[in-house]
Amino acid sequence: MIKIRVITTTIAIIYLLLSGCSVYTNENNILRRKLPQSFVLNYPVNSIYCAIIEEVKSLSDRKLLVENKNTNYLIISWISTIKNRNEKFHSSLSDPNIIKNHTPLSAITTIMVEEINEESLVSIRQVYLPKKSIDGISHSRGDYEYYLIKKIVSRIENRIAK
Amino acid sequence: MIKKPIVILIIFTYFWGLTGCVTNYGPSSQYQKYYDNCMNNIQFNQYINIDNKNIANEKFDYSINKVWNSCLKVALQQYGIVSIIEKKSTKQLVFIGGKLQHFEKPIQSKRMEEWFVVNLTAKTENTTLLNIAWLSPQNLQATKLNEKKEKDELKKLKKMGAEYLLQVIIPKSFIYSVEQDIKLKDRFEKFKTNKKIKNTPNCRKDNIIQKADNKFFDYGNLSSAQTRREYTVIDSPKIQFHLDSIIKSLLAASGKTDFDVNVYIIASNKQNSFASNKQNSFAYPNGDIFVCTELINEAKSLDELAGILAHELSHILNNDYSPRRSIKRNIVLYSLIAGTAIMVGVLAKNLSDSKPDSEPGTSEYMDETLLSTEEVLIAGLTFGAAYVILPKLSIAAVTNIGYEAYSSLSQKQETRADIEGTEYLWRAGFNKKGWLNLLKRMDLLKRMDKFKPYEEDEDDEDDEDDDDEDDEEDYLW
Repeated sequence: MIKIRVITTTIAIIYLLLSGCSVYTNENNILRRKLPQSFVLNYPVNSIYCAIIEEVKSLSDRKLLVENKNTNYLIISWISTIKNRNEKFHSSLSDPNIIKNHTPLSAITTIMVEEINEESLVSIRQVYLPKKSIDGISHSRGDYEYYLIKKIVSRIENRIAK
Repeated sequence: MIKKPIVILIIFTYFWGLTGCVTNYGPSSQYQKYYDNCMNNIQFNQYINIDNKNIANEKFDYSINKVWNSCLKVALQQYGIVSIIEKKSTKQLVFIGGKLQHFEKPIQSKRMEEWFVVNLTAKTENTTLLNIAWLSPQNLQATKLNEKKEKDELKKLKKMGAEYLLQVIIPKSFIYSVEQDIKLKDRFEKFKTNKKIKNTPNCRKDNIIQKADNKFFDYGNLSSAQTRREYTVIDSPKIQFHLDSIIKSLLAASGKTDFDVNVYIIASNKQNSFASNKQNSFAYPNGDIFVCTELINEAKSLDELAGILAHELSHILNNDYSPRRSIKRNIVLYSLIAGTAIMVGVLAKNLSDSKPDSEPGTSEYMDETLLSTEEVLIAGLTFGAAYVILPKLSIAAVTNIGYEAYSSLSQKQETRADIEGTEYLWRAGFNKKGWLNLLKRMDLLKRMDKFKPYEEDEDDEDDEDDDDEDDEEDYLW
């Protein structure tokens, strides 16, 4: 007769093994759609510039590092503290040890906007700067880029609507 | 009695240590004090003097504005642009550069970053001097690496493997990327008009083209994004136009016109590549193809470029780039499972051997069937270790998905890609031998020993441009 303690121990271990394996195939961290190298927006550079500045001002704990505007292009970069750690932009953001011991988590975002005909080419890069992490410094995997583009477009359209 | 649990514990610890399941966090950045305060204690509006403290320099025969534009494009793809100062005849930018580094155990990969200042000086109207210097984390001033006061810091850097990073990889890679960004935009080019695509049936015998399933597509999307974060992507509209046209022709020839394929040019050659074993071109299951600048520069005609793309396209259409866990991670996981299974087996055997002497229902029976102190200890350790180790292992596995996770291609797959790629070339109207010329020049023909190119008795109407490698008009530039 197999004893209860053997069964319970075995079940517990198998459960943990399977739960560990399922984290490996956790699809929250996988990019669902292709990330383009740059985004093309049907708005002039000036509108996008205003939208980005508004977005930066809406962040707490941030510092604008570069605001370089030229005839045909614009470069903006800032450093900010990541508040919303639930979003799976990078595994470090959800690592409980990192959250517990190594706050705050900073990120540098750099955007270049170029004028092409009557459209704008927007290139976004965000890099995370955790104090310690299992993967060290790392780029955003695309979720942040799509999120920011949506924010920019939404701000521009709100402004137009007004 | 206590010997068996100890044996079990030793076995488990052995597997645990062997697999390196203990997760080590990377060291803090040397510049962490600036990041923590959102750089509030840094003022960047002052020009940083490099003088003789540059670690790399290059002279460009282009105007300062042209070089500056390329510097911005390349710096944008690093870890962040921190400062820009523009004057009439000098321009300066500060960027954070980095590279994947390996610390301690081979399976633990950490990224390191260093700050650099790039100064451009216009010597004449069409001559620009570029200087790169390293910014010390102590005072964010340009620092020469062999200065005595930086001795301790250098010792620390050397231990971390950073000295090579500082002196060679990042500055060289930056300058190479800027150079390629300028040159590939600037090249004069001629190209032959592609022949009309023949109206031939799909060349695949079984008429079925395998498309990567959703999971592989996701991995492909992630890996492609990661690759474009690790390498500098060169934006050259003219070259890109050719590459996109070639792909369109090849897809039509393969019969799969609705397949979404993107071609990226990445700044990489043998001297500047981060990965010494990286190929000159590669693809991911999501349809993204990467071609290194080394290949672009070596190619002398569109036919040669088309050959490379046809080969990679064949890999994509055959779903050859199927990701799987790397062998290293397989060993880690299987060792953990094996160790745990052995421990459970030994525990179960031990328990089954010790039959209770008492009658069921008695208090003595309960005492004998309940867990003993040693058994509780072992079960608790197992439970705790699994609870601690497995999530970390999984997170590490997920975050490290990249080209390492893909299985390497077999010789059979490579040969099939060569054969099918050549067929796509022929059907799309390209010179099927142009590609062989390229490989021959690059001394890559060794792997083609088993590949027999099409014989001369193929349609002669397509062979009129066999000697085109000597024809000036076929040169891209």
